[in-house]
Amino acid sequence: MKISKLAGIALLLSACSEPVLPILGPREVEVKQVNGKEVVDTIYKTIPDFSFYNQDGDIITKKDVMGKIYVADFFFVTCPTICPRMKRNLLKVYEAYGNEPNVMLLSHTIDPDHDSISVLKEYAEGLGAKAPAWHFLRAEREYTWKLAEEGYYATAMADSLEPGGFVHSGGLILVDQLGRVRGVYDGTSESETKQLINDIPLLLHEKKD
Amino acid sequence: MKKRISFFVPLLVGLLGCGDSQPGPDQMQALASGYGLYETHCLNCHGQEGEGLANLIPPLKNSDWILQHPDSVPYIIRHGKQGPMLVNGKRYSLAMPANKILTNEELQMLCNYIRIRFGNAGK
Repeated sequence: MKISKLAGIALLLSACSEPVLPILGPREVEVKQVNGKEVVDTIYKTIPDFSFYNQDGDIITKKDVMGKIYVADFFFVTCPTICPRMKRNLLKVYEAYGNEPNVMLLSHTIDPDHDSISVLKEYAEGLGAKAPAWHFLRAEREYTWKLAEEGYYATAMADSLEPGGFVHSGGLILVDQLGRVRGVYDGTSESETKQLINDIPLLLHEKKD
Repeated sequence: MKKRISFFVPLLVGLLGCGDSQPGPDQMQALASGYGLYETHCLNCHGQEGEGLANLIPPLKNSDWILQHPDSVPYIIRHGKQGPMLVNGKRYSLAMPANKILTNEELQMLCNYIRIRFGNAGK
């Protein structure tokens, strides 16, 4: 009796030793008929299609990130508040995975009026960041704000009362090979960034189902 | 206020590091007064240890620029800075925003803090 209890605990522990990151966002249940039987399938929301210019003037779309893991964030170059903290932490992610071809960083400017491609290029160079491992992306601002809100569950908008003129969330958003959001980490927090760095291998080892 | 300063004393001794000399009462006072201001107005960009950010934001720690231009520091804090500057042999070009809400007294406290905390006091 005692042994069987221990075996049960051991089984539980081994099951817990390989954690799985949750899939965030809304999901739909699809009921299908397969060989006359009713089969229930869960459809998870994925990042919508997108198209941006990066700091080198190249067009980056969803096709470039599919099959890869990436970390997305929203920022602006003249941000006097949380952006430098976020970039300081993102640099740690870049240092850890910059040479891993299946991991990318996508930093979206929410102030394209100021952040031209050449400004983004200078900013990226100042950080020591290079495409394709780290893209600094630019599109029309409403387009980016909408993608932030609807695709990444983040906030990005103009707000004249905020320092720098914009309000945005400081999340580092982890997206898996299938385009599903698997985690949102506080980009101003060293401990949450460390957690993000530790969580990326969990997705790298996942099967692409 | 007295209580607040006494709370900061052990922290500030730690912040000053392991130098040969202990901070004097005036330095302690300057650090205690400037800590909150640094945290509010400077830390996001220049970092907890005044380390700056890569080749974007210059360090305040052991900065040759601050040592060579001590009188320009309050002006830059208040009015910001456009255009490149060379600090410890590296070129930094990201603009610094102005901090016009700081009073003269706060500006003085911040400058003292940066000078003492980050080794920019000179010989």
